[in-house]
Amino acid sequence: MTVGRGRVSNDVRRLREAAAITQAELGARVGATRQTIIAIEAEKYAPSLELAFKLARAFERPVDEVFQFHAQG
Amino acid sequence: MSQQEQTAWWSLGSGILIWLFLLMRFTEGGRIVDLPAGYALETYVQMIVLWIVASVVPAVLAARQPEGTDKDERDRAIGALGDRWEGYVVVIAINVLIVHTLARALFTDRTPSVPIPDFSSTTALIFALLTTLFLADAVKQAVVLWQYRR
Repeated sequence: MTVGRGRVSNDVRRLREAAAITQAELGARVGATRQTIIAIEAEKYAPSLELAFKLARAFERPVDEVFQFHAQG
Repeated sequence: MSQQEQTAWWSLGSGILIWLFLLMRFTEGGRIVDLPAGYALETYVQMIVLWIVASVVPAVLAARQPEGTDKDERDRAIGALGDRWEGYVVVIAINVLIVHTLARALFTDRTPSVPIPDFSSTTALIFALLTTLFLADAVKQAVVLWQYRR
């Protein structure tokens, strides 16, 4: 089975706001800069698997609850 | 604006200024002039000193403001993309120089309708190679800035 190109969306903003933490605080927890958290929330940057797991762990959620892959074509 | 973006802006600006300095020394009335070797060497050394100073300034400024200097995976990915584009420019420019030089050697009986620099002159060759380096760096910084701003 082949999977074509796709788009990765995420719920980082919603989960961060629910946890009442700032972008800088979240960045510090996962070892990323505030700019990277901003880019991830805006879905302009798809993080590496490692960072995705770190973010999911920071929210105490499974990774596929934080990140979703939408296959196209 | 992140430290990396500020450094990219600085590198782009200083690179353009240093290239303009080279342009001023190597050309006259829009044409590359044949410089004495000593003068070309002096210009080259001055350019290297300017380049080192331009590279050291952002590092010194970053050291005085340690917050935000750490690079994360996105910074490294953007840097790698910039490096890749820099490589493309160098490869393309060097190949253009090779094809241009070969064409000049092969078609000696033809006079080009537009003035084309003759890279058999040492000055022109040095200027073309240095311009390639500056152009490649400018493209790299532009790609980096575009990636941060998009």
